[in-house]
Amino acid sequence: MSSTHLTVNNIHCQPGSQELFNGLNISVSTGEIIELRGPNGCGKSTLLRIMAGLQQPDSGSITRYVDPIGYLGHKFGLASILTVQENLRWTSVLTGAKFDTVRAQEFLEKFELRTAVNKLIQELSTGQKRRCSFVCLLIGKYELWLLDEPFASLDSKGEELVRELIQEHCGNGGSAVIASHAALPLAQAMQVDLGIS
Amino acid sequence: MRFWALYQREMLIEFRSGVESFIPLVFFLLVVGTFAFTLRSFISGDARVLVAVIWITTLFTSMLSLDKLFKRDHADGTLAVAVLHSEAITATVVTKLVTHWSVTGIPITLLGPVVGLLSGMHFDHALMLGFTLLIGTPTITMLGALVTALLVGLGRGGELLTVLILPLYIPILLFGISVCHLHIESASYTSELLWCFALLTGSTTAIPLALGPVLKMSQDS
Amino acid sequence: MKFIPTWLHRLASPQHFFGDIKSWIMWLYVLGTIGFLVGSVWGLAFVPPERYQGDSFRILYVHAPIAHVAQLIYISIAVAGVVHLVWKLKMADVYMSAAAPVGCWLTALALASGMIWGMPTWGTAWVWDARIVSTLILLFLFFGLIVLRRVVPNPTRAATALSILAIVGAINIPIIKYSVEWFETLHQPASIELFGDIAIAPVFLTPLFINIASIYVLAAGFILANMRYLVVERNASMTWIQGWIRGQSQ
Repeated sequence: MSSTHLTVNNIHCQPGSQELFNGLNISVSTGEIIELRGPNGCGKSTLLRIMAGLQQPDSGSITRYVDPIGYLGHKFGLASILTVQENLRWTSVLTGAKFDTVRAQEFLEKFELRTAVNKLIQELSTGQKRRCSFVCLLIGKYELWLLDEPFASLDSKGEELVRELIQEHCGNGGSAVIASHAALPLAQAMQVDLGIS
Repeated sequence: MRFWALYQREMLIEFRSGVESFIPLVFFLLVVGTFAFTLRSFISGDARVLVAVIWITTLFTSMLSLDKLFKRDHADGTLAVAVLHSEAITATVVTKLVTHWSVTGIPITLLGPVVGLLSGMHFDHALMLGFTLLIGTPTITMLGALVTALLVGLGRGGELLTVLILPLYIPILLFGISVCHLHIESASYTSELLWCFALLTGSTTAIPLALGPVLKMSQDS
Repeated sequence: MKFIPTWLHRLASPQHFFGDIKSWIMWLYVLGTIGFLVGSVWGLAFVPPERYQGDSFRILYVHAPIAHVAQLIYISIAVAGVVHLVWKLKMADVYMSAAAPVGCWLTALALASGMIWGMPTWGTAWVWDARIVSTLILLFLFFGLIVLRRVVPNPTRAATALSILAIVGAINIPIIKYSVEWFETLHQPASIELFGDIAIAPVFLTPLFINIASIYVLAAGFILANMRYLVVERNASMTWIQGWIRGQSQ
């Protein structure tokens, strides 16, 4: 079963004088990993934000077949004076799902956050925060992931973990759009080059 | 259920902020105190002066605290996450509004009449002051939240907020004060009170629905 | 959009607007200025003095039209706000941005002329009277719109923010009027009623109407000129603007 999660329909975007996209079309379907490549300032983050709906293109449209969308931007999306546990609970409240303690424990274990579960986010290191936001992504059970530089500030072990995670997610019918300045260590990713538009 | 869970989260954040949550209230007392001290000969002669002072200070206190209504959530990215859950966005927004009202509106509603009583206001008049504050402060929160939402992420300080909001606050301010004044003068205040209720219902029904889309639009920076 | 006349539909596109409107602006300026001069001279020289205020009432011919048009401009901005929110019409956004400064100036002029009128009539330039206060608030509302436009960098977002603020403000204007009026009547006896309950006699009316119409025409001219400027600014990268610029410089 191959169903479409999101389509980008002929979008144009020109913030200021530099044109970012001119008639860009992308379709994201189940099981697909799409890698957005390009140098700094070519609009990778902007495109992800437009896909998520956090920004509007100048013309063209985005059709979303799944809701909500899991978006992980430069900011971690974690309340700094709440604990890891409280942040995870919040995600499940937003998605309307019941908080699954066993599942949460399992993910925390995987990301080596077990001992930090009752720590405030502001007490964590940047890498731990990144890991925690991935746990939130898993708790939310989103079908489509939009990840902006997901490997930033992760150690090699974390990187490996996230890579496995993305592959597993897309193997189970999910999809992911990943913005990355460096080549992704993901074999089956489809590349979209934004630099040469 | 969802609302309650979200409300707990918001209140937990307020609680963890500790003494920071009390800044608006201290500000309120400080400003009322300053007015009352400098105007003491007018206040002891006429309860209407104190009513006006308390109402105006309520507005200023509200504006002071509105500034940070969405600021923290925008800074740590949780506002963006909340906005993307379109199904829950109205609940999120309503909890934010209710929380803001719980930590500024309710305490001011309680403090205002107490300040009045301590300054020798008649009990009935203090009660009426409390009542008008009770129905006026939610309106203040709603209007303020709408304008604050327009400015999310612009990195602008409170003075811009003040310039944009204060003109919109004039009706509720004048109607609130009018009710108290007419009550003190033993005149009929029904129509003014009804106006207060009209503003309350109007703002509490329309603004929570508008806030979700406005916050989504404000995510661009 | 079948029910909209073609010429109006044409104006909704920035390019056609830019081309079509140029010739109008000059005519509006000329017509408005002539009308205003005629109305004012008529009002100043050919209308008999008023019974209670003598000659000082003649500033009415400047003050009332300006105040009236200023208010109407605010309402029209709110209407444009609704149009922008509902139909996403680009020109509605341009109109809001162009009209706000014009409205702001007119409101300031209305206040100033009112103060000048107040000096001989009330003996003081400023009273905290219902009308003055609501006009003052109108000035702040206009100022808010102008400031909001400046501080929001993204034009799409600025337009939406402006629409919302304008609409909320417009809902507030009548309420502000009532609230200020009621509040004011509580405290002080009504100030001098401008004309009491006697209706304005027809002799006074004709120049007033001429001036109201002239201020409308002048304001329209200013707003259209502003809009034209904004259209150029926003579409600077479009080929038709580029072509026009090249044509100008040759």
